[in-house]
Amino acid sequence: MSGFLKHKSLPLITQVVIISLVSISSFGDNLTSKWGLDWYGYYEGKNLNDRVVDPTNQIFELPYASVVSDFRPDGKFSFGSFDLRVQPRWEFTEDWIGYTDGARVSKAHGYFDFSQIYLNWTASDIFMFSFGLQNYQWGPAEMLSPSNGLIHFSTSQRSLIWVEPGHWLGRINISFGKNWSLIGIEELIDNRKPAWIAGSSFSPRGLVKFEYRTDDGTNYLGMTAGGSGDNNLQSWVGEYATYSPLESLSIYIDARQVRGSYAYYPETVGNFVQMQQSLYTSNQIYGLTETGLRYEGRVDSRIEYIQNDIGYTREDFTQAVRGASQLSPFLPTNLPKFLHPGLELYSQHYLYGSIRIPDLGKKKLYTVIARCLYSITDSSSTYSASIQRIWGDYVNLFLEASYLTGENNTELGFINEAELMAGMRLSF
Amino acid sequence: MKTRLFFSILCLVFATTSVAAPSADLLLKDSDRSRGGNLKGITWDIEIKTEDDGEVNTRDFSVKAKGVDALVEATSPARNKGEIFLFNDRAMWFLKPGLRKPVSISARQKLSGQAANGDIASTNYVGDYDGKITKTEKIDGVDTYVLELKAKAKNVTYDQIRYWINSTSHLGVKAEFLTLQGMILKRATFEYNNHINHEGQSIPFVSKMNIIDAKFSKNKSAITYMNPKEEAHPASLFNINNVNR
Repeated sequence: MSGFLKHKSLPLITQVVIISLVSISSFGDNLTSKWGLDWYGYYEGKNLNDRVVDPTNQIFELPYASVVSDFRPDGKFSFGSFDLRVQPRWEFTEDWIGYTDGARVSKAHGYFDFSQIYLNWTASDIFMFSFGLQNYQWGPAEMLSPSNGLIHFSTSQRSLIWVEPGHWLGRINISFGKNWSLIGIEELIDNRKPAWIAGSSFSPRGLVKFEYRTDDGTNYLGMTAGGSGDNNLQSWVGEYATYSPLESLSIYIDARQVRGSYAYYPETVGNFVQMQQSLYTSNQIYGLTETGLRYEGRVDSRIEYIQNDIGYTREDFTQAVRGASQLSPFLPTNLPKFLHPGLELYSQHYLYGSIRIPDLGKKKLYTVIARCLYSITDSSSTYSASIQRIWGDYVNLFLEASYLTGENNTELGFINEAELMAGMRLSF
Repeated sequence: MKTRLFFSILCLVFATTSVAAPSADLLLKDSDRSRGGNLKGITWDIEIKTEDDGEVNTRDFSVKAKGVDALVEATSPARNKGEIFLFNDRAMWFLKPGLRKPVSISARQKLSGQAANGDIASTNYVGDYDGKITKTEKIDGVDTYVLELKAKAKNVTYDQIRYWINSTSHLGVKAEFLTLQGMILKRATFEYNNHINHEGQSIPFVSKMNIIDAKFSKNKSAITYMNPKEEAHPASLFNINNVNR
């Protein structure tokens, strides 16, 4: 339990909660509130591969088995044009960790955190203001949201138990009806999650987003531009759009372009590899583009192609793994830079496919989802499948499995090769 | 003289009849209003009770609707609580706690059972369909006009509707929803035990819609409409960028 209540920004969150609750509760009888609670209990087992990076498991301490109890209350308080959303999270985990010397230990830890806590003020039909810890995302693609440079991809985000960590955002939405939007977002305070680019410190960052939707809501086009005054986030321009030529068919794109790259790349220095920001001063324009095709009939299926110009080549990745695993004067600095290089995805080209089949079975209680991500760059891939079953009004049972293929110096093959999760969600 | 008198009376009868018979558009406009259409906006709670092959399910939602747009929040059962559906005409967006971003879903996906999305949002038959009065009929002792409605565009919930409207109150009492080929998909009846204040007047408002699958009569849904009130909803309420996640 050593990590219990370890959230560093808790005092700030506490202040926001208390001030917001006191302000809103002063509205008395006109205050409305809605509460919900989800409890997740699940077992997760991993079959770990022989890794090149941290082969003894002394650094990452990846568990081969975990049991998790995760409470997720969700509160909404409303008065007039004000809304307060409070989503705390309280998780307990028991991990079983194995090392290559045969030692096995179990470790229990827990934490209390907030996924979201924000206050929203609808000032008029046109203006809306929001401040707090929140998850605000958009985009038609399933895998990435390149036009949103503030929130980055996580390998776990497709999991059934994933919760996107909130960001401390100040946001203004200017709406002209339901078709036109102009949105300004500023990330003002560090949310204390690991830096996206290793070694960089937080500084405020922001973006503006402009969007148009057709009257029937099926086609839309958005443009973004953003950046930071500091070197922890590159300035970018982004675009996203969806077009539906038929009711069940849509094609879409989500992209961003940057000048140069702040990401770390492996460079040979003598006999060693050092991770360096090699393209920092480059004037070349690089793109991260995700294009997709979606068919939604009885089954919801997608296929997406991702082009990541600033990603690693096969040779780059092999070198980066070498830099993060071989003894050298640069090893201590290489490892964090390899883990957090400032890239949404490591490789340059991917194919992604997913299929979702809801309402299966005679009583329509089952939902099945299958996904595959294939790195064209190094031929590694990850397959995942999940099945969910409704069990009465309060319970959802779920089973999720993933399998990674590829050599242990490839992007998707180098951590673990198989994972199984089974559990339940209990809702009140 | 007798002949002239007879023609005069006949003319008077025809004239009276033509004045008394309202247009299809007027009937639809009036009937829509009591189902949430042609208002500044409507807020209501609904319960959808679905019977599918003997399996009974109940789901509750709170709805804010205006024209072709609706913001729908699931309130029960617990496993669905907090799920949000935003209808922008034929486009539908789905959000739920923990979901990374809003996901667009096909309008073909229904919220529950036989209830189409168009049954949950406000009704706008006068805007979506070309109507024609084809005959009059008595339904449970009530005089009705029978209207044949044909979709003006492909993107509406149903291709064709046969609609029985009370000739006195102008309330829709019964409907058959048909395919383009004229095959009946579903049948529905309506009850009006609610009232709302509209422009200073209390008007009857839909309280229940019973829907039965035309092929499998065991499959049915009952939508109960509760606490309806006319409220002006700004268009920006139905902008997906403004929906709290």
